[in-house]
Amino acid sequence: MLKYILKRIVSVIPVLLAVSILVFLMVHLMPGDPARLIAGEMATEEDVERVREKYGYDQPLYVQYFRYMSNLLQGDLGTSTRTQRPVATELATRFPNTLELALVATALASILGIAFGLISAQLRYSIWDNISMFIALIGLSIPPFYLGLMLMLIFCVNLGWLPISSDVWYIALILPVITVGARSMAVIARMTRSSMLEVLNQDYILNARAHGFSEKKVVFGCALKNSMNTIVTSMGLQFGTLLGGAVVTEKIFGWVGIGDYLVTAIKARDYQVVQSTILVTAVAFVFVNLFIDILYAFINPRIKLS
Amino acid sequence: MKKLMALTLALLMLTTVLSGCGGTGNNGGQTNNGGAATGGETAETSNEFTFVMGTEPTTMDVHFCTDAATSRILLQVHETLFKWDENSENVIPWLVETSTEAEDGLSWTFKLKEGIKFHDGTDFNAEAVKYNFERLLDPATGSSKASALQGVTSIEVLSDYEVKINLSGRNLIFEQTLTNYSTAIMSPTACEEYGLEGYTNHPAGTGPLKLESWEPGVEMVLVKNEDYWGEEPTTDRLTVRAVSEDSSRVMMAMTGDADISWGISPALVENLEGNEDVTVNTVTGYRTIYIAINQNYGPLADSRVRAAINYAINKREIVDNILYGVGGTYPSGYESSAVANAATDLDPYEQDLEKARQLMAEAGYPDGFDIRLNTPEGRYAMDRQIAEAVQYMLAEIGINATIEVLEWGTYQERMLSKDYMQLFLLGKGSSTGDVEFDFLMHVLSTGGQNYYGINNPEVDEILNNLSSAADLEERSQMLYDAQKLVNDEYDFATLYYENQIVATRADVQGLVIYSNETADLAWLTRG
Repeated sequence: MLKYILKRIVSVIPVLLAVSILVFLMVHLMPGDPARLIAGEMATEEDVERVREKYGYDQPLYVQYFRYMSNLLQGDLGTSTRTQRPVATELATRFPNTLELALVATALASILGIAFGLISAQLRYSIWDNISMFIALIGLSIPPFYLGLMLMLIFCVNLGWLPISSDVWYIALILPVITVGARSMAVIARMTRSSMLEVLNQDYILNARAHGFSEKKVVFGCALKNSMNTIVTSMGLQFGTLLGGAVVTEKIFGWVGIGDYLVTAIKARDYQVVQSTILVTAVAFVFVNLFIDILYAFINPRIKLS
Repeated sequence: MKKLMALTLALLMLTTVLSGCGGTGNNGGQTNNGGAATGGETAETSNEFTFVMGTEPTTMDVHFCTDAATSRILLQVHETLFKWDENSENVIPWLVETSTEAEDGLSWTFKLKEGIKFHDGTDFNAEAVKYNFERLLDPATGSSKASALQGVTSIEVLSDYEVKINLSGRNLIFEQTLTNYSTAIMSPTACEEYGLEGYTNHPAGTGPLKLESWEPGVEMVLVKNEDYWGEEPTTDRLTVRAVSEDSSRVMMAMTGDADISWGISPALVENLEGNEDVTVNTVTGYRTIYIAINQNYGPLADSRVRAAINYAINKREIVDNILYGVGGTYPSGYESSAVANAATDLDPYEQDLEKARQLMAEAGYPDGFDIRLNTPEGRYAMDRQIAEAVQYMLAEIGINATIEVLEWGTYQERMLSKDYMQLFLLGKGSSTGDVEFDFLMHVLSTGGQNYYGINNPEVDEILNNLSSAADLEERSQMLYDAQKLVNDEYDFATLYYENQIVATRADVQGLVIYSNETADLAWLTRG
């Protein structure tokens, strides 16, 4: 397994190289002059030129790329042109927050999603099935900007049960987690349901029942276990997506994650921030996928990593 | 199943560990409320305030500040030699005792106030002024705001508290120029000690508040400067936070999570009306919002067509309905009335569709023409909605405008190309607070932001002769004449002057909002 993991890690390098070139080209080919955006709308032409020279935007593109890569290889993610601070420092503040939100949201969405999916599959076509799938449908359909604002309006403004901002970490997490987790919960619930229904129709389930296994054992011991690969894949994808930041939720709740940071950087043509943040996100995403692969073998030993 | 449970528990435990030791130190990702919001008795009775705005301060180095939000905070810690009075009408000496213009107008001598110290204990004196101005002008600093001292050739220290600024040409409004946030004074000791990259984390100005802590992206805490030279500050502690979502800032004002919410969208003001706990403050700002008319595009070169566009647009409807009557001030000239020397009695061209149609016919376009109308989205209050209203109004006189929304970076590039844009919605202000700055940028035929092909020799002549004006009165008259010429040529379709809308908790007193989007936050009280 170790050999497999090492191989996967090495294979990440060309992926990241490709990502770096792609992102570099994308941000540099976007219309818009970074020097002008940095200088502000009331800057004179001389001001703009001074900025262009300072950040080396007057250099050819390949020179800029090699300078970026050479700094990167020395562990320097660059300096934000917008805030004048090292990108590494800013990411060190923001990434743990994004990770925290993504982890808690995925964990809770998984627990609830699997529970709703199981209820729905097991009690197919019952009122419980309808209720579970209705909740999932709501979670899937309601946009985060609406859900977040409504939660804030109801629980913070009207009922006064929760503060909009809080010093206590788990209180601060409640509404953002619900906002970002609702969609993940819905996806996992629907995935669990369909996967369970497929497995429950298999001959070996019939066989297990014929052998007099209890329904609990059939559902949890046989059906759920065999559905887990699909469910775990779906959990991993949701988690990976959330690692890229939840822009809307971060905006609404003032959550200091990387989503809003990235969008602000794109608007300001803060090249260093855009490149480095996407690179860090790409690394995280690749490792989440690797973790999911390993998890397959952990859940179902019949799957061989090699 | 057990494995799954174990995995989930492990995830939750990992999260707990991350929350305990990670990130922001206070509460994970969300910023804390500085004590004022949920702090109960102590917070209610103390002078601790939470200030929220749409974007976070980006730097505390005066010479790298390029946006109004940052300058708002920067100027609590640093001070300029001159300052606007509370009504943003007159310039008053601040760190300066007296100022004298040389007879030939080529230098200004300032006698500085004595006994003022920077937050790091360094004396404020003539050397400090010289150091700061030279740092701003030095190409090695790379400041994009060096033009704030345009025309300054050298700075001489005459004595400990006397400094002489030499100019390349006469500048009658030099004192006003020195209200610009880019000319605020930093401690030379701190600048030297921490360098160009480090000063931002160790700012030391002479201001009434000083930096206690700053976790970029999370919050900044400013505390009272106990040794402040002037009137004793009443704000003990100010927590500055950025919440980019407009609705969230409104709700924070409603719940008390914020004492001051800066930048309330006009569309949301009605949610605060009738709320006894919240006061809404409105101040006309420097920014003028207008439909820019590119004279390089065929029909728009004809002033009769530009006049028709002006008469077709119902500005009152825009201010009253789209901006809910609070987001903007109905125009009375070419530039926001908050800007010094702005003419306030020019014809704003009330809607007159008959006249507009007649002008179109006279210009040879009785059936109108097709045109592109560009607008950014989210840059100015209700910008897209306003562009759509203008589109409808122009259709009334046969001008068939197609709306194109562009992201701001692209928008700027297209404007610079000078031949892409035809009609476009834009905002402009003045970094010096004087109408001259705007003229030099937007109207002078060689102006850096003259995206409109304006080439009016009469206006150019006035602008080029401004420095030869005998006194401020004459200069003011010259600027008035220039504005009238621009207005008479229908070079712009001025829509409104943008209002700054700030919500405060009803018990918060002492907030002063300036037209240049800055504020006094050091003399707040609860009453």
